[in-house]
Amino acid sequence: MSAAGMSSIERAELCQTARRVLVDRAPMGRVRALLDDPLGHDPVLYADLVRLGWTGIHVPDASGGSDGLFADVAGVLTELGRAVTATPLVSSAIIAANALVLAPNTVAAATVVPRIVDGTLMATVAFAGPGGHCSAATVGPRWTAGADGGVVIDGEATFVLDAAAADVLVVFAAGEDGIIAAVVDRTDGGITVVPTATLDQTRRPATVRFDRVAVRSEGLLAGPVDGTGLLEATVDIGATAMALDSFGIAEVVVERTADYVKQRFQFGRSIGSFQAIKHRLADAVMLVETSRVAVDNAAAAIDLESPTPSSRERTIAVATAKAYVCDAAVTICGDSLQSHGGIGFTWEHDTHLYLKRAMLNQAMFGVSSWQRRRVADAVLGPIGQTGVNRAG
Amino acid sequence: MDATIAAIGPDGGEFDELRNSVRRWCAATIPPDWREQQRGADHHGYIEFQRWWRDRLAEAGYFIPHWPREWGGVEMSLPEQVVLYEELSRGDAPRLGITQVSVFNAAPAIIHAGSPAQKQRYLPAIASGEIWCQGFSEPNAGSDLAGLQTRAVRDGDHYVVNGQKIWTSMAREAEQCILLARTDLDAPKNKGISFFVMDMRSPGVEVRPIKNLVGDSEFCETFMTDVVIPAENLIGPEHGGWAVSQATLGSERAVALIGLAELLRRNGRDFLLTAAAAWTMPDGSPVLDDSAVREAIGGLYGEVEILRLVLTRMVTNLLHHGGAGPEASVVKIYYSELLQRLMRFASELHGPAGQLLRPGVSSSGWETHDFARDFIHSYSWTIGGGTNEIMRNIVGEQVLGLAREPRPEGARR
Repeated sequence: MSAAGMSSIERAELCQTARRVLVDRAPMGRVRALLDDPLGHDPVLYADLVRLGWTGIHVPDASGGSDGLFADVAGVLTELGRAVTATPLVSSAIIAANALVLAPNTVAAATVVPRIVDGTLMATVAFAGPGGHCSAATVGPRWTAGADGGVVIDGEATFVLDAAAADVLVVFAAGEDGIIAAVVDRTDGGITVVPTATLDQTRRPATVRFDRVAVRSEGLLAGPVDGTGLLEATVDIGATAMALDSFGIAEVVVERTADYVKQRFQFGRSIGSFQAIKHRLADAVMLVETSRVAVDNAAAAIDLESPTPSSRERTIAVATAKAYVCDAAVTICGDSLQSHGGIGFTWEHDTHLYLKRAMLNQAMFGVSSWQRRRVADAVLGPIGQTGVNRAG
Repeated sequence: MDATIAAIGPDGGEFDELRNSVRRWCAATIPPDWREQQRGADHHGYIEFQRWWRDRLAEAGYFIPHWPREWGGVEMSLPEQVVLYEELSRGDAPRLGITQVSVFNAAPAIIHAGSPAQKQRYLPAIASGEIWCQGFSEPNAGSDLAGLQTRAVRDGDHYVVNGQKIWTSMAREAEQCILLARTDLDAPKNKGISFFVMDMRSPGVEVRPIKNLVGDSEFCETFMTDVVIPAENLIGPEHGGWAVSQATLGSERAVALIGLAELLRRNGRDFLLTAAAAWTMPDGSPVLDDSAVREAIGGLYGEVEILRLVLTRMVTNLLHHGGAGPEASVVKIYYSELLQRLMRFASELHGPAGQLLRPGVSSSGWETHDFARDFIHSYSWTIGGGTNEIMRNIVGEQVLGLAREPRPEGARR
C-alpha cells in the first residue's frame, strides 16, 4: 500500500478477507448473543480486527497506520454492515481517529491515534445535542474559558457511539466564540456515561454528561476558528460511514430475500415467480446498483477534497450518498420484511436486525431530508438569496 | 468532471485532447439557433435538417466512430466514445434520429450474423447515411415480441411475406427494413423466426404514419402484402432470427446512453434550475425559496449525478468484461423513471404557464425545454425499448435467478 492507496485488486481482496473473517468469527449467532450484552461487543473479535490491521488502514503512517485512503477502508465498513457486526471499530478507528488526525493540534494525533491503531485504546466522538441531531447548529456540550488557556465543558452529548467502551472522548462544544474540540479521558471527573437503549441492539450509543470538566490547553484539538470545519469533516466521515454500512445491509438483504422467494412455494409455484414479488426485488437491485456508485463516489470525495472546510463537491457527494443509500436500505429491508410475510415479523428471523440497523444509520449523522436540503443549499445558494432577483 | 473519464481510460490526458477537439467542433458546427429553427418544423424540414446534421457528423468522423476503418469508421475506443457523446450532449447537439436503426440495430446484426457478401452489400450503404427502419413489433406482439405473426414462406429463391408491423420509425424515408417474420409455424415461438433485410420499395409494402400523443408523426404502421424478399437477404440461419435480434443490443448503445445522462444533467436538471429561478408560488414567493421544493431538488440533483456514475460503471464493466448484460436493464429503468420524475416535478412546479401549447422542437427528444410536453414524451422511454415491466422481469430472472411466470395452459411457448 502507498500514499496513493490500494489497487482495485487489493481492495477486492481486503473485502473478501473481511467477509470471510466476519462470517467465521462474527456469525449471526454471535451477533444475537451480544444483543443483550452490557459491553455490546466482543473484545476477542476486536483484537482480531486490530491484528488484521483494520484499525489503521486510513491512518497516516506517522500515527502508526498504513497510510491508506478512506476509499481503501470503505469496503471493510460495508462488510461490517453486511454482517451487522457489533463493534466499536467505526466509532473509534474511523470517526474519532479521523477527527484526531485532522485536528490542528497534532499532539493528540501523535499520542492517541497510534494507540487506537494498536488496539490499546478506544475513542469516540461526542457532540450531538438533544434529539441526537448533529450539525454545527445543534452541538450539545457547551464550553467556557478555563484556567491557563484551557476550557471548561458542561452539558450533554447524546447518541455517542460506544461511549461505554471508549477510553477517550473527542468532544465538540459550542460557546460564544464558536465551536471547539477537545480530547478528554472518559474516566475524568465530571463525566458520566448513561447507556441509551435503541431499537438497534447491534450498536451501543450513550448520553455523556459533562459537569464542569476542565480541559487543559494541551487537550484542545481545535479552537473556535477551526472547530466548525473539523466538526463538519467529522459529520461527513460519519455520514459516509453510515451510508457504507447501509449499503452492506442493502446488498445482503437483497441476496437473502431472493434466496427466500425462490424456495418459498405458494399456489404451487415459487413466490419469486409472481411479478408483485419479482418487480419489487428488481427495484431493490436497482437501488443496490445505484447505491454502490453513490457510496464509492462519497468515499472518493472524502479523499479528494481538502478535509476542512467542507467543499461544495464533497457536500454534494456525501449528502447524496447518505440520503439516497440510507433511504434505500430502509426501503429494501422493509420490502424484504413484506416479501417474507409472517416469518419476517418474528424475533427469530434476522430481518429485524437488518431493518433496525438500517434505521439507526438513516437517523444518525444527518437525516435524509436535511442531507437533501444541504445539496440544495450547495447548488442553489442559501434560502432567500436565490430566484429573488428574477422573480421580483 | 474529467475525473470519471480518467477512471475509465488508462490516460486522462489523452482524452483531454479529444474532448477539446470535440468541444471546438461543436462550437463551430452546431447552429446556436437550431432549436428555434426546428420548433414546429414539418416532416420535410426535419428530415432535411437531419440529413444535414448527419453529413456534418460524418465529415468529422463522429457518425460511426466505433466502426472499423475498413467500413468507414475511425475505430474509437469505448472511453473515446464516452467523451464524444458527452461532449455532443454538452454542446447541445441535435439528436441524430434518422440513422438510429441503421447504425445501432441493423449494422450490429449484420456484423454479428451476416455473410461477407451481405456485409459488403449493406455496411457501405449504412456508412454513407442510408436510412433504415425496424420491423419487429406488431399490433399483437409488443412485450411478447416472440409471438409475432408476420409470415415469410419460402418459395424457391425467395420468401413471400405477409403481415403488419407497428412503431416503425422512419418507415417513410427508409430504404431498407430489418424484419422479423415467422418461418416455422410449428416450432416453439422464438425458434421459428427469421431475420431479413426487406427493401422498402418492394411492391406490396404500404406505410401509414401514426400521429403520436404530442402530435408528431415519428413512427408508422407498415403493411406487407405478398412482398417478395430474395433468400439472399436472410441474415443468419433460417429460423435463427431471434438470436440475431437479441445480439443487436450492443455495447455501442450502452455508450450512447452516456450522452443521455449528460443531456439529463444539462438540458434537464440544470436548465430546470435556471428556469425555476424565475418561477413563483401562487403567493408570489420564489419557488426556489420553498423548503419542500428545495428538498426535492436536492434529491433529484443527486440522483442525476448517480445516473452518470452508474453509466460510467457500466461502461467500465463493458471495457473489462465485455457485454452490458442484464445490468443494462437496471440502467434503462433508472434512467427512464428518473427522467420522468424530473419532468413531472418541473411541470408541476411551473404551474399554468407550463401548460401552454407550443409547437415541438424537431431533432430533439424529450429535451424541448417545455417540461410538460417533455414529461408526456418521457413515456416513450418507460415503454419503448422493452417496457419497464419487461425490464423488471429480466432483472428478476437474469440477475437474481427468480423463476419465470408460468405460461397459461395451451399458450405457445
